Amino acid sequence: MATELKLSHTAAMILKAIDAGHVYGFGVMEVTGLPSGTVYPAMRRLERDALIRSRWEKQAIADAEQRPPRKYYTLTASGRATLEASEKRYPLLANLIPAPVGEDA
Amino acid sequence: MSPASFHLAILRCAAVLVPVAQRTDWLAEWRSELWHIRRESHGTNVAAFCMGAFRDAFWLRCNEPIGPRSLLRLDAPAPPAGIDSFPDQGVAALSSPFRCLGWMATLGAASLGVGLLLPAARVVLYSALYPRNLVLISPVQAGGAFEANGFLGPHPTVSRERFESLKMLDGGQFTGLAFYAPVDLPVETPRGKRTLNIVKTTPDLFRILDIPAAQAQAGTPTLILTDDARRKYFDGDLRIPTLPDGTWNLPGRVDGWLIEDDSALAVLPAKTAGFVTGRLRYDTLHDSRFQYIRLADRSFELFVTIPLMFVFSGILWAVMLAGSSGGHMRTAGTPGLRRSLFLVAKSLLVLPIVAFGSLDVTALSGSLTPLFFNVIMFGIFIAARWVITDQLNRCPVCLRFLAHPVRIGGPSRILLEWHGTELMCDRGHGLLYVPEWPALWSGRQRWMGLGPSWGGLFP
Repeated sequence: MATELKLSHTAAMILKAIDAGHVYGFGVMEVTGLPSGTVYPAMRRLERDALIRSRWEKQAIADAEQRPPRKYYTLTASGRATLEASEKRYPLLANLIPAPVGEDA
Repeated sequence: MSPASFHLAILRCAAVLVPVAQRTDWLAEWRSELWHIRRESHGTNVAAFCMGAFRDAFWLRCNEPIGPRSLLRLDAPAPPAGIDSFPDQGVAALSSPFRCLGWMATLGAASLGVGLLLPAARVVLYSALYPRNLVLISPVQAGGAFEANGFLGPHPTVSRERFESLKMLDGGQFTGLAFYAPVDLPVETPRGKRTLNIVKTTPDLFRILDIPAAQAQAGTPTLILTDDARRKYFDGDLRIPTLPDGTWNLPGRVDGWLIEDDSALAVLPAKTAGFVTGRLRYDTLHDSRFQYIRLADRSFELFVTIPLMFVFSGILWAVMLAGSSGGHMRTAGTPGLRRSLFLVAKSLLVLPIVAFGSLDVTALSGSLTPLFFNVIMFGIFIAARWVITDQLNRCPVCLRFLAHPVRIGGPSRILLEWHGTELMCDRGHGLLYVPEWPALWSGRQRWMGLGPSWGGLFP
């Protein structure tokens, strides 16, 4: 079961960051302090394990804001369950990852 | 070039390293994130992000299911879900100490195998098998038979007549002298008439070479073939006596030997050209009437001995380094012994890899001696560095690679906190702290063992 998965602290931080609403790679990097070379591979692995899923933003939204479309990440049900289990093991995780200010998750 | 174009060029370069199937997606994500990073961040962060793309690409390449690196880790256990895979795990096949030693042994054997296939390298390897006092002789006037650096030419230059005069001049300086002449001998084979390269000689030659199988055939003219010639010309007829391949390492390519009495040799034309071989009674020969060359070329051994000293110096250095790291790398009892044994085994196994590998490389280049020493010295430095680095990157308990490197602290905060990289044993034996900047209290890498209470965190 997904809840039995044991995450490294890094992976748990990334999961928590996404759960907190930092849904883009750059946002996760900023809030966790982890470099890009660590965050993206970790997110790919989490995605492979079906703990998160990624989607490309609709082109129309990006065009309207005159920027390239972004890829955003969301937690899956098993990802959420794994995160809950991880938070029991890493109780300070919630304090480390604040919710984004003035940004919709 | 504008900064934006420069950053994009970096990302494109990194994308080249990404497997083709995922390249577009990754480049699109990097470009999209770059746009936001440039808007919201400083230049340093943009550069760090762009350089991080190479790490992403490297990670992807290491985790690509098809490719030589993945072949190395076919049966390597997959890391647990959610635990990041780092480039070190791409060589997971070398993570297990036994598998590492196995790979090294295989590589050493392969290097030797390649050496045996290359003619120039084979001469050097076989020359180590000759007795020290076995020499190839000619009178000083003959000339031409000897080439520099101990590598012999294929053409005989001593006539039978000259050999007779050499025997007269011997004066007890040799324990044995023998003449052999390569001739073309037409032979009737099951596949018709064939011309074989036969060496005409006397039983003395095989006594000098210490080949007992041939000595037993002395007395009557006897034809002995090589295993290869018997297979090739006589369909492997077991009635024909042979010598195993590799027995004959003297100059001249032969299919067989015609062993006759001295009287038969005496009827050969006086100008028949051949080689003269013998064994020195003493270590050196002080007679200006002869020139000789030792068939046992010891230069290869010499070239290997010197690097051997380097390797063991390296081992000593590594052991001292590990032992002097404040005792933190020390582990109690058997693990410490295992670690030392593993280091010694690696150092021993790396030697044939470098020695035979260097010989192969130089043999391929065509010029052996001038280049060989340089190549082997270069190889041994690289190998010694690898042995030490590999040892320091392993868990002192299970001897597997440490993984999950995490950078801690920063150069600007060195006074207040520890700064460097922390690595972890996948099996939960402990953590290794490698300081980036040595400080008074964190000068060397430290090993911190984890107790059984940490077991719950590790699969």
